[in-house]
Amino acid sequence: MVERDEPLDDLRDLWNDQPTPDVPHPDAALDAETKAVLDWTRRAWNAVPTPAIPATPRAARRLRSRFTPWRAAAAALIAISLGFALSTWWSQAPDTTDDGDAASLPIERPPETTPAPVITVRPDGIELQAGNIRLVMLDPQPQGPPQQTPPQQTPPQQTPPHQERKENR
Amino acid sequence: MDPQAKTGTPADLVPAVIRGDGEAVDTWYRLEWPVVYRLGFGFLANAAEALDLAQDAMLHLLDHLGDWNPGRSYPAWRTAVVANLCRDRLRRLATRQRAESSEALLLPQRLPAPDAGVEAEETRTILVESLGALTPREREVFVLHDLEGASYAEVAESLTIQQSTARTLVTLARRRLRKLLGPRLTIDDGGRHG
Repeated sequence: MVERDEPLDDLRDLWNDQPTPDVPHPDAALDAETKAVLDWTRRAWNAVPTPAIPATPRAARRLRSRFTPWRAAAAALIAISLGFALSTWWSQAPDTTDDGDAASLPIERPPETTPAPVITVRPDGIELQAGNIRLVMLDPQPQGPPQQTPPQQTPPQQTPPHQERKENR
Repeated sequence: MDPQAKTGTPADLVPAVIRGDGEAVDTWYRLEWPVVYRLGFGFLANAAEALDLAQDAMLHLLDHLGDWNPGRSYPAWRTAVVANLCRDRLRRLATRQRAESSEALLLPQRLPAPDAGVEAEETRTILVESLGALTPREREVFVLHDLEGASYAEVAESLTIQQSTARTLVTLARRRLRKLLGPRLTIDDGGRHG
């Protein structure tokens, strides 16, 4: 317990008895100068023009972009349809590719399938000619009954059904 | 659009705006744009920054309308959003602002009459410079209470501060402005206003 100190207690009582003024309200009593400053500032504030809403406000752009999923889906659908239509047209269009690089490449033509003209028909085959190449196609030896052949005769050779012999002119 | 919302306040339009009603969004935007711009202009004390901020703030509000609790005052919520965006912007601009504030405040010896059309640009410049001389907190409270006419209770709710703090900040702001503008008014306009 704190001992009582008479002089200090008297001072404390005096301190506590001091009246505390209320917190002054800002609007309670304004001096003339402050009132003039406030009045000028308010008039200046009210004279500030508000700029027009921008032609394309960011919010409008954002609103439009909210529908991006739908637009993306529509774009994908259009792209697929276009691709399908293009591939259909491409497959039906004549081959008119006129590419510079492709033109410079040698064109691989399929081998001519025109039959070579028959020159001679021989008993053992036929003779054809294609350009300066003469082709003689011989039939194989007929497979008949064994004949009385001299013993020195060699047996029939195993030849392919058609023996080709090329002769250069 | 909801016919009731068509003639209502921005708060009445919020449900339709959230639903994506184009007409409601348009109306809400036209109603909110001037308010948001003026708040940004006052809080930032910079017309160009205010214009840029107003667009960002409108976008932000539009995106976060769903966060607004209808049990709370809509203007207070909107003001809080704008104030927060302004503080963010002020932090980003702090370096530049310090450089600008280090320069001497060059105000004319004689203040023009605010409603004189010819001197409107000069008036706005002085207003911007004067508001710029306040601290951001003082500016917010001063703009809301003394210029926009909000009560201390509304200011306190908007800025999430005590009403006593709001009163103190208003007093400080007024004192600073009186020191800055007072001599010029007493020289030229003292007779009219005093």
